[in-house]
Amino acid sequence: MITKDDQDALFQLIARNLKKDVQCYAFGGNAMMYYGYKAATKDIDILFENIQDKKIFVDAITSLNYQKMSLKTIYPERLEKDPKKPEMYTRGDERFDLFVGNVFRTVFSNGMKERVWGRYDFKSEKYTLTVYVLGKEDILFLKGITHRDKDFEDIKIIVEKEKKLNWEAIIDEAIYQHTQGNDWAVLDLEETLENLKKNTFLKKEYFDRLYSALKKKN
Amino acid sequence: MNKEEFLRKAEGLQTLDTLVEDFHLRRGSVLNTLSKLKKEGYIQTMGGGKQKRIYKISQKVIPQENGMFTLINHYSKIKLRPSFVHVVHGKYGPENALIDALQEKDFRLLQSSLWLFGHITNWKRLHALAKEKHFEPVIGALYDTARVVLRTRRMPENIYNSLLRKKKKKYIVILPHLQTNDERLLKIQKKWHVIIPLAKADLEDMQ
Repeated sequence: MITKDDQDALFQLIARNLKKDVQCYAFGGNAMMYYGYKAATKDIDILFENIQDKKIFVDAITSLNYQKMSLKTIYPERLEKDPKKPEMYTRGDERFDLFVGNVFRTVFSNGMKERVWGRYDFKSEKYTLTVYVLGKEDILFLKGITHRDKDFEDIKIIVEKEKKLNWEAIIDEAIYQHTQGNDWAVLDLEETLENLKKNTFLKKEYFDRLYSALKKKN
Repeated sequence: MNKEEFLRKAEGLQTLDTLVEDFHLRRGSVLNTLSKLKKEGYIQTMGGGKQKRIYKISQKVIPQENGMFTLINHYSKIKLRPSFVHVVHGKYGPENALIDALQEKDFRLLQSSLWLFGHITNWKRLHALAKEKHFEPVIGALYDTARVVLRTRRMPENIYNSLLRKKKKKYIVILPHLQTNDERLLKIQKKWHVIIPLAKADLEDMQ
C-alpha cells in the first residue's frame, strides 16, 4: 500500500529520472487520495495520451527497479484479453497500471479532459512530471469498468462522501463511450448503478437513459 | 505547558482574545507562542489589519502548498477562485506562474497574473521559459501592459530587446474575441504585434 505523501515522494523521484517532460492522468485509488477519499492505495492507475510519454515514464520507473508483471488474477479474464489492456509494474508492494489512450475499451474523451479536477507538477532540475487528476465522476465511471477487487467499495466511498455527484455527466459519458464502440460502457455502468441502488437514491431516468442507449444501438 | 498540549487544546480557529482567555496568559506570551508555532507550520493566519486576526491552529503541520493560484492570489489585488487544484512540488516562482497562467487562456487569470511582474527576480529564467513555449512577444507585451497600471520590477534591457526581436509579422491573439480600446495599450499592441485583451475598464479595476 502507498499513502498520498509517499506517492508524492515517489512521483518526485520519478521526475528526477525522466529524460523529458511527461504528462499523465491519474484515476482510480491514487486519484481518490488527492480528494481525501482514502488514505492509501495498492494500485497507481495512470493514463497517458501517447505512447512516447508512457515509454519515458516506464524507463524512469524501471531505472528504480520496477518490473513488469502479469495481469492474471488482477483483472477478469475478459479484460486480460483486451487489446487495450494496461502494462503493470511493481517492486513488490504498490503497483503501476499504465494505460495509453484508453482504459480498456473506454476512450480518454475530451469530456474527461475538461472535467480534470487538479494538476500536480513534480519538478526536478531538468524535467517535470505533470499528473492531472481526473474529475470524481470520471473516477467513479472508470472504477465501474475495471472490475478489480474493492473497485466497488471505492465507488461506494465516493458516493458516500460526495453528496452532489453529477450523475448526468456520468450517464452522458457512458452513452458517448457506447457510441464510440464500447458496448460494455453502458452495461458496466448499469450494473454499478443497480448495485448502488441499495445504498443511495438514483433517479429512474438514469436507468431509462442507459436502456434507451442500448436499444438505439441494437 | 508544552507544544503538543497547547496545540491539542487550541486546535481549530482562535483569536488572540480567545487564547488569552482559555490559557490565562498575557497577550505578549500568547503572541510569542503563536509566532514560534507559525514558523514551524502549525498555524495559518487570516485577516489582520482592520479585520480581527484569526488563527487556524492544527496539531499537524499544515502543508504549504505552492501552485499557480496560490502564488497569484498572494500578489494580485484581484483574487481568484481556482478553477482547478494546482500544486507544485519543487522550485516554482512567479516566472513559472506567469507562463502557466498564459497557457490557461483565461481572462481573469491573465489579468491577475500581471501583478507577478512586480515580483520577478530571475528575468533570465522568465526569458528561458518564454522561449521554450514561444511566448516571447506575448511576455514583452504583457510586461509593457503591466507597467501602464502597476509598479513592476524593471526588465533588463538585453532581455527586453531579445523578446522584441521575436516579434512576428502576423499579430498574436492571446484571447479570442477580446481586444483593447485603450490608446496606451493600442501602442503596445502595435509595437509587439500582440492583441492585448484588456479594455480601459479592466485597467481601471487594477488601479
